[in-house]
Amino acid sequence: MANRFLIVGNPNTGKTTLFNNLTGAHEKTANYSGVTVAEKRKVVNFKGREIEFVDLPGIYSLSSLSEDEVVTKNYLTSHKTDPIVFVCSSDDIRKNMILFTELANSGHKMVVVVNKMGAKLKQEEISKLNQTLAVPIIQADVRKQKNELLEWLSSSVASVISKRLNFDTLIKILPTSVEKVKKLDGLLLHKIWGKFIFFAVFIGVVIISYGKIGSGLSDALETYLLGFAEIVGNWLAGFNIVWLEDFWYKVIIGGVGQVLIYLPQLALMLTLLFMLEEIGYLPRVASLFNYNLEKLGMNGKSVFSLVMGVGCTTSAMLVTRNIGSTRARKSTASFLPFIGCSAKLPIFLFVTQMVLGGRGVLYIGLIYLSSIIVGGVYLSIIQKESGEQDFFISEIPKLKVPSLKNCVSRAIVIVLDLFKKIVVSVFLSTTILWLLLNISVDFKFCGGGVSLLEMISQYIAYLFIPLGINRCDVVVSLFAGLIAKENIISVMGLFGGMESLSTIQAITFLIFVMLYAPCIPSIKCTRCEFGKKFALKLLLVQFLIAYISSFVFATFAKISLILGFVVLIFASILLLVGIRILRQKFRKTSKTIQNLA
Amino acid sequence: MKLADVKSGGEYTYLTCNDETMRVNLRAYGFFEGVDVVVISRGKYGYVVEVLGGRFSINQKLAEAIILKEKSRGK
Repeated sequence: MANRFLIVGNPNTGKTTLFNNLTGAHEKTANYSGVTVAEKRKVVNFKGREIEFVDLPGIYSLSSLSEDEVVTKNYLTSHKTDPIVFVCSSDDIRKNMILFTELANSGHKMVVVVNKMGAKLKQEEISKLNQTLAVPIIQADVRKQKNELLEWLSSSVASVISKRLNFDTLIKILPTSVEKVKKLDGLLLHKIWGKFIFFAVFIGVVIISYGKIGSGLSDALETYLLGFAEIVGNWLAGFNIVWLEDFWYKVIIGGVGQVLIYLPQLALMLTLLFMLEEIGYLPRVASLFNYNLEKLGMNGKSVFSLVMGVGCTTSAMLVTRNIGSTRARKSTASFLPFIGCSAKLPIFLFVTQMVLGGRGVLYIGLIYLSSIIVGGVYLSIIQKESGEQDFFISEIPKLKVPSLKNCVSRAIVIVLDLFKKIVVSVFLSTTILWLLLNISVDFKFCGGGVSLLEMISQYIAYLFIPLGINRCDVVVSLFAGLIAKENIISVMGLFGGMESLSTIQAITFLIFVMLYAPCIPSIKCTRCEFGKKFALKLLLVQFLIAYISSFVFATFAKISLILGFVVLIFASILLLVGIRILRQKFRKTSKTIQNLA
Repeated sequence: MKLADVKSGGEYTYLTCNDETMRVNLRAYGFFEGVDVVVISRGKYGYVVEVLGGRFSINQKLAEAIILKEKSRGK
């Protein structure tokens, strides 16, 4: 049986970085608390000996209350005999000692790894710490020194501290933090400049990812892919089998290939977002927007989930665990589907490039803005106690220089994961749809006439008449998008693109895609985290909101495209303000009635 | 005095929190009785304080519940 080590420590001290380094895993790391929300385990073989490492969510104290911290607390209780690798950071070691004291006093066997972060401890300070804590201690850069750390861990004997430690006496002898308050924080956390910087940073990320740099990368891949498609296409033409050529061009190139060409842009955007995480910028954004998010029932910690939602709604749902308050957690989960995930962006780029050309980016921006406002309205409606605050405290980590290598490798892991998903899921669903598209109503393959798929989708398309998008390709792609959003592009490719869509139809379709239900894995995750009732309610509400918003846009866009957006955005804002005023009046009236009674 | 009433840039000593649950939670972050609290910034949008070398963002509601005393000079 493998020796098991539990990696424990305060949030944001480098536990997952140590875990990744020791085991060769690629688990997510970032410069803020609450990145790891569930236990992760991996066995490594070192000099013929098997060692299992378990990475647990960061915890400040055994009395902590958030969902992810409870995971660690329960795990520690049920694995009391396993030695703990206590990871603490060199620049605020005193704060780390709260948890250390609690673990030591509850009889856990421990070794301590002091992660070199910022100011490193002097040798005499390490010796003093060793004497005081009476457990094996090493100071190391947890990103490197893999063999040295494994050697040290396998040879060290984790010890139980015999005497009872007292935190109050302990902090008096431990080194204090020497860092001065940085001027940069004053700017990043400034109520006006801070928000200005935030918007500038995120617009910058979008421009780099989807401007000349990002699209240049995608264009290069597209050119390469088209060249390859032609070579294989010419070779297949030699066989003189019509359906084989059709399958190659429609399923492989038009379906799977069409999705793949947007991966470089996605990788670039994820790298930039990860850099912001590593710098430690996101906790500052959390602090900056806490006040505004509280108005919608969320709190500052929701920022981590919301930013994660730009990548994937499913993982963002899991990250809501680090939000302490249940109310804020549910509100964040309800808002997440309104944040366009990375799988939706290629759809927008594909459709806008095809129908709108150069003006596409403007409309994509407007669709995202509308979606966020509509999401805000929804949250405002579901809030039972508008304006009621929860207690909020969040750590602001020290700013640090990001590791480009780490950010790129994290982005590559996600993109490769998406690549696998595209190859398997998109290929399978596109193949099935291609078959259905080629089987006629009298069950003849490639028999011509109306296909089975067209016949079924024609009936469903009646539902979309008020939206002006009652087309078979639209209906089929929306249903395929429920399995995975990437399927929407592949289905479009299958139907020969969407060039015949008018501008209004294209944008109405995109608004619907933006707002309707997230993919099935995300719905499943919502059900696991918040229950069946909550997930079902969210799903139905998403469909309803998507339908109403698309209808409002389609109706007014007939006069002018911009008017469609203006009405959609302003109607939502008016609704939001109206609800607030009505709620305040209602509260005042009920208070007066209570007083009179 | 409450954290909500103190000046930005001042140094204080943490006494307690009026809310029982939050008192336990705050201990996890290093808010022990007698520990030094430096108020870095404050405003209706929130408070940034430094405790035991760690920096924390606190909202108005919690700032109303945290009780501090001015750090005695000359120590």
